[in-house]
Amino acid sequence: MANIKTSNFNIHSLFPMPVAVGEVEVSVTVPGGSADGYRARADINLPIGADFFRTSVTSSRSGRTYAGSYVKEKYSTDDVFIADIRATGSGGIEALAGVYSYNIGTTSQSITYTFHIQAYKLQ
Amino acid sequence: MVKPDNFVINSMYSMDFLCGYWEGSYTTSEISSSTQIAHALGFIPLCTGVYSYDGGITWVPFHPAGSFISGGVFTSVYSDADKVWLFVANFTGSQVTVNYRIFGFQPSDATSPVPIPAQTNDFTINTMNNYAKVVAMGKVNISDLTINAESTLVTHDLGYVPEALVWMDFTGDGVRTCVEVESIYYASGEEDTTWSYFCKTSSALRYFLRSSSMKDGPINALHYRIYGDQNG
Repeated sequence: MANIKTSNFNIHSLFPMPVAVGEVEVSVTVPGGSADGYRARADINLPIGADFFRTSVTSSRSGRTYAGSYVKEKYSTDDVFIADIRATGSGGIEALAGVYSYNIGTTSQSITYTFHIQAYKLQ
Repeated sequence: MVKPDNFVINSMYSMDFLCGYWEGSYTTSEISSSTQIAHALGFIPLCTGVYSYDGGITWVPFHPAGSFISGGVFTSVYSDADKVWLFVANFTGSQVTVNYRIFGFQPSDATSPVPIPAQTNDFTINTMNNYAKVVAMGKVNISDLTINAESTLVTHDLGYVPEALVWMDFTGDGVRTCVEVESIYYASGEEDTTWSYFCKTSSALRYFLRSSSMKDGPINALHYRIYGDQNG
């Protein structure tokens, strides 16, 4: 075969495909005794700008790993927790955990949410 | 896999691809409203994606309950046989423009081929890229699941917690739609009978269905996609 440019041999997909560009993990803790409206945040950088991400959230209290970026957990009449993420303008991810309910006093125990985030771009 | 011929290249696992991609903006009034985007896929796509409430600076994943860190703008995406629906719940008290990126996947039970998009030559595969691989996908009927117990949707036995996406397939107002799910877990209490959650382990994807009213209600089935990427 003649020595020709390998770049001539491109493979074309018929459809756009998600490409994994980064993976990060971050934990956020809500201390015991937190009141409604309390929010704990953690920022983590993604090295490459992403078009979208897929997330799992592991709860220290239930031991469960949930599919999706939004989780709500309720442990008693007083303890309601939420976990959520958003991508920030700096190219990073902000993970947030907090107390959700409007009618509780303070939470009885602490809880830590660990976010597992996969970032994707479209080819 | 119903339509393996839809995968252009076969590795050990099917490489994921989008059957639809919709990007744009929508301006809503001071109250909640929705807009529709027509599609001609021939099936109900499984949609996911992100939206921005501040002109493309901050991006938040869609989910039905809305995000509490999204500046009072909760946006979710639904799909039906010929439209993708963008619903915006606006609690800001003023007009808001939402930017959106919606990604559609083909459900496992789709029988019609995916229409090929016009810009074929733009999608060049590069071996330096890590393309998402699908290790399992399928559909489970709600009527086959047990109430108040974790039902196994699929056993994957990967040995690690993989990524997974799950959608609800339901009928409301006579229209069958799909929406990505969220997880709500109650350790105690009967206050809310609509909660459910999806639990991932190193061997299986499980679903907890809380009440008979959910089982007998509008939800018909669950669609899942499990990816080879480790995520937990």
